[in-house]
Amino acid sequence: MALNTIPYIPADGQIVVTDGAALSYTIAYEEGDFSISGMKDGDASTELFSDRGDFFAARQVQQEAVSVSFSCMATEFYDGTDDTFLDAFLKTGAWGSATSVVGTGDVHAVKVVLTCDTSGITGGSSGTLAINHFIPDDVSFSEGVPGKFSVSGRGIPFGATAAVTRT
Amino acid sequence: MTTTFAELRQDLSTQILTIGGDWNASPVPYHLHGPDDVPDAVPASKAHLSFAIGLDSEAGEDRQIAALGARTITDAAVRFFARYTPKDGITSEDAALGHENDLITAVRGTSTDFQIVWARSSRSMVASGEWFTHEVAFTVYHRVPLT
Repeated sequence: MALNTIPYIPADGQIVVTDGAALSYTIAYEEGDFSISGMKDGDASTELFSDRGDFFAARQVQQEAVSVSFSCMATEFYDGTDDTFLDAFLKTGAWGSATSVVGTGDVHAVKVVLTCDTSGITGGSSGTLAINHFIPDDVSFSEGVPGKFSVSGRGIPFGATAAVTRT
Repeated sequence: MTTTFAELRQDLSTQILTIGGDWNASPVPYHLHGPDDVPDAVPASKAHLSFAIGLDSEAGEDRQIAALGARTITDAAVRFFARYTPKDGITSEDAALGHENDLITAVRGTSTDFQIVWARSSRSMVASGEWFTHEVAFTVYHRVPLT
């Protein structure tokens, strides 16, 4: 199949957050600023070895996390029954009993999937970028026009599943 | 909740008319309603507190998801005339300023479908010197339907 020719723009994207069970939250009112960095082959760091200045070997040493961030407009701080941005990442409200996607330990980790769909345009198609184990490190709110919620954190490989899978 | 541009203009107009008194909607659109002259379509008997609403809009940054509509920032300008009385000029100026405050108060309470804030006001007079021309600008945050 030929490569797509239609560039992704924010209007094509949508972010869905899920826990390890049945919770699912589609983030609304986004500016479209999803960002991911630090993807590596095998999710592994690379160490280079040199012999008096000349590289002679390279090894994958240890697994590392990818960095992920995105934001949306702030419309509600808390809700006991409906999904909200803060509740989804702070494990409160409707997400108070969320099941972490990292099965061991006490960390609240979720799956974050960015879908970019250009299938309605000739030369486009739908693709996904899934952060399989996203650990929110910094969940923020700031006033402004509009007020914004933002989250940044790490996506880790865990078990036999890579940090990021793509379709 | 989404709001079309026409709905926005109509909501603002309706809210201004709730002030009562001599407030009346101009029969001509904003761009023909002053600022330098009272249009022929507005008789002198109706010029006092005759207003028209102009809208300039810009898309806000968001994904423009069809079901949610497009985030939009609209500059809504309300232009109205107020009578200048030469024999009591300052009093009529203060009266015109008072009408402007009435308008701001009324428009700020416009709708539950969008957010609106007063942005600025500017004042001048028509060329003949018979009428004050006030322009009161608001910034409206709303969502424009995409489906």
